[in-house]
Amino acid sequence: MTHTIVGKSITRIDVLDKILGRSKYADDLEFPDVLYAKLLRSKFPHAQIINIDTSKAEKLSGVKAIITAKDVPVNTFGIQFKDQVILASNKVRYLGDPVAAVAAESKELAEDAIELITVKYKELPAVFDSREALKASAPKIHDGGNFAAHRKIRLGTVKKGFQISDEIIEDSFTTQKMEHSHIEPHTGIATVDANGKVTIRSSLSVPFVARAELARVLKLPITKIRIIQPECGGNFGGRNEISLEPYIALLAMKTKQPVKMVWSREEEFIGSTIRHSYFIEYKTGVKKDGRLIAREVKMISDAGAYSSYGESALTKSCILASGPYKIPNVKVDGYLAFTNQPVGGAMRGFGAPQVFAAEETHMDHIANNLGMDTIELRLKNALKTGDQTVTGQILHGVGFTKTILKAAEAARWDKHQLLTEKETNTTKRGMGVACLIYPVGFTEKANPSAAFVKVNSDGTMNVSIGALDVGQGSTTVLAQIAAEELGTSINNISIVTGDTDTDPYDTGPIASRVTYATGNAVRFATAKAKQMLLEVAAESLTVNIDALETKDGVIYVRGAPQKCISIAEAALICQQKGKPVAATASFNPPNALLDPETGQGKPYPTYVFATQIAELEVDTQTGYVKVIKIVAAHDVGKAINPALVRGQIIGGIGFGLGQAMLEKMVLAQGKNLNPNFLDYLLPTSLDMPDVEVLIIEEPEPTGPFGAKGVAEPSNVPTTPAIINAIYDAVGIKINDLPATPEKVLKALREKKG
Amino acid sequence: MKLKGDIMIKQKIQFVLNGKSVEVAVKPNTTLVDVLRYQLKLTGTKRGCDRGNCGACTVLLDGKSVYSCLILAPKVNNREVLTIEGLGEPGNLHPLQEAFMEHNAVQCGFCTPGMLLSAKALLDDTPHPTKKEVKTAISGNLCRCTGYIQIIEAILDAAERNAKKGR
Repeated sequence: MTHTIVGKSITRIDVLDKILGRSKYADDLEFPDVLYAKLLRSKFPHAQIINIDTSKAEKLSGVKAIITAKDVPVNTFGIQFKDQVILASNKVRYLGDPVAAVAAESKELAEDAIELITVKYKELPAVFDSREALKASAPKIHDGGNFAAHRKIRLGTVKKGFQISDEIIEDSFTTQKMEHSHIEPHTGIATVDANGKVTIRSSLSVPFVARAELARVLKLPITKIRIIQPECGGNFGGRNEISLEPYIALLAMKTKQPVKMVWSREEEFIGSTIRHSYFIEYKTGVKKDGRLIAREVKMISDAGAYSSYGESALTKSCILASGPYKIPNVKVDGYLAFTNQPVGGAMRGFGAPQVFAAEETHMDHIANNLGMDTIELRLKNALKTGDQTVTGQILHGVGFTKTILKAAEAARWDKHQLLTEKETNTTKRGMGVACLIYPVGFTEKANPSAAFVKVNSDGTMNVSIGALDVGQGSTTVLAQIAAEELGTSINNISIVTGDTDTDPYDTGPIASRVTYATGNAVRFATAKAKQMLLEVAAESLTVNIDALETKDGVIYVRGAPQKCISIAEAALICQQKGKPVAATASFNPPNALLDPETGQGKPYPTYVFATQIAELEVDTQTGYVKVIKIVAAHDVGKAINPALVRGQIIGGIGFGLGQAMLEKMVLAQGKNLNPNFLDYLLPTSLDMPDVEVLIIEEPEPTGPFGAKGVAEPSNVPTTPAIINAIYDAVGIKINDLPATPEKVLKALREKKG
Repeated sequence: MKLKGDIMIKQKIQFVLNGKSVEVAVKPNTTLVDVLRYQLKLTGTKRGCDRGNCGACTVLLDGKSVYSCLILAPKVNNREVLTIEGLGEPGNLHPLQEAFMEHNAVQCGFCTPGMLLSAKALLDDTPHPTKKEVKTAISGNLCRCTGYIQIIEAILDAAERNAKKGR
């Protein structure tokens, strides 16, 4: 099928306002008499609250309201379990726990007021290591203890599998805590109208989930809460649940004035959700010829003080622990433990970056032990169309092998021994590969999207959706899908989004699902509207409806394009007949619950695949690693907009490079020691290697025009590809992220002896 | 305890902002980014960290790129400031803006204004930069979305366009 708009690198439709500095992010919005809100957070990682005294702060001129736990109608929240408090009442469980919130006439006054609140604590023993937290002797953080979840995968019999294996290879791996670091901090403004309706302007990526959660917390009907999403300055999972919204809502309700809260960069580190750190152990049994026979994986994820997305991310980790490979005997156990650390939440890759860092470096270890080329080992065990995943799901449209072959060709893998020619006495070169399987959509749960379209009498179309563009370009992609389906120019499509009062429901731009799920909803709604147009066109042209096609805003008879009527005319006829063209449709990615004992079932509708190859140079005197080039081959299904796909992949590679070499939240006794971008290092332009992106389009039959998605997966293989390349260069195995120069240097010295 | 809310003294400053003279009364502890955003209502300049680490607040001061969150407002008295609002307008985009648009150098857009101004400072000073010079020039502007490569491509392309236009 030839497409006119899908598959084209159309300029993103929101770009002009962005390059002119005219896009309005939350803090750019202005309200008269706005008050500034600030949170007082816990002083201890684990403590009982004896008393909170706000009297001094209340007396400060310009302070308009102070709220504590007693002011919160329902003082619990949580995406999966309601185990988190809005404002701590009797106990704090980490240093980010808010204890009180203040609204004042200026930011400075709000900060002053916070300083004047005195809280009496009784410090409790705390636990900061997830392995320690699971021991019976550990201090209990929640009434039910520190054990938050256990997820399992069981396939075949690993014991037998190990018995018949020729070799058994074991590895352990540790991953770090990371902060999303979207450059726009969490920001929100709440207003309350005379009827008590609360409007919140905050760029939440899950506005409908958040609205329901807020209704619960505030004890208001959902119709009394409206979330308007301004432009969003990056998400990466950091805005996947409520954060500052309850405080500004409560303070606005109390003061009857608009209330704004902007988190400082430090608060982003201390009080927002982060990436879970993992301890992972791998054991794989393999035949001499490279066939993977059995695998046992054990992992412990640090939930931090509350569960948030912890169990869901852990489930994904367990499902993906066998990698993109066919292994007949698999046993995975994932544990989630509460600690007095920052709360782990959703973050780009959602449990995958941790396991793939371990899994793909483990694969290299296996290959090296067998004396086999690492790519050959991967090709030998690669999942193919028709294969079953570790959960028993039969795969379709698998472009995995293609990604390996294309990446290897582009990186000149076969010549990679020649890299030594570029080496000096103090610099060594290496090349490393890593692969990926990654699902589209939510794990096990319903995650629907709906769309509402209207075709206007001039042939233009409004498309209402509930999935905000958080920077990835989804609005442009959805407009392309709508334009292609209707058969008109993209200039005739107007995407309307960002308001829970008017948008149809959407699960949001999370789980790499918008192109696939919202894209399907948009396509189906457009197809319904098009059907209405075709019906009047068929009548007007006196032909059978099946004979009609649309292109460039015109409905014409196939084979006789001179017999035609414009979409505008058809829409006008519909309108005059009393049936204005409008349609709704929804889509829910098909998935099913996993068996809790075996992990068998269909957790996702579809999967994407990727292979990345990193080439780098290690300075043996300083331990500094310079990544020179990354080749990234990604099977994304049909690429609706190749330029945007490329943008997502390169952006992800930056993210993965940060995880591999730079980023780590340093915590001591629950206190973050590097809560800023001077000490927590994000990749800069100077850290980025050259990147060659290869888009592999293995069409997904259930996706819009064959699309699967891109988004999260691109950062996942980057990290292990870099770690594997370091090994290739200097023969050291980094099994504790990130691979900082200090760590590399230390390992080099240890190796030398 | 020393409270912050009680500094009330303001002083008048005058400077050229995007080609026009402006006068504004500022507290001595106010930073340029806050004056631009909250007093002069030019919200194109962003605040990402408020301590000179992220570059979202980059503006040009007398043609040089600076972090406006690290500049106290009285310091710009009698000087010249360029913000994103003065770089171009619809129908008359700066070549850098055109190139950013065409090279998909923008995702969430929050770092974009600062990034464009750092790029302008570079091209004004070094019309034909090498890739390394481009990377260095924007290394103080953090972007979490793009991985920088499309931004670097855009800046190199804008330099070429400038050369052709003789700008």
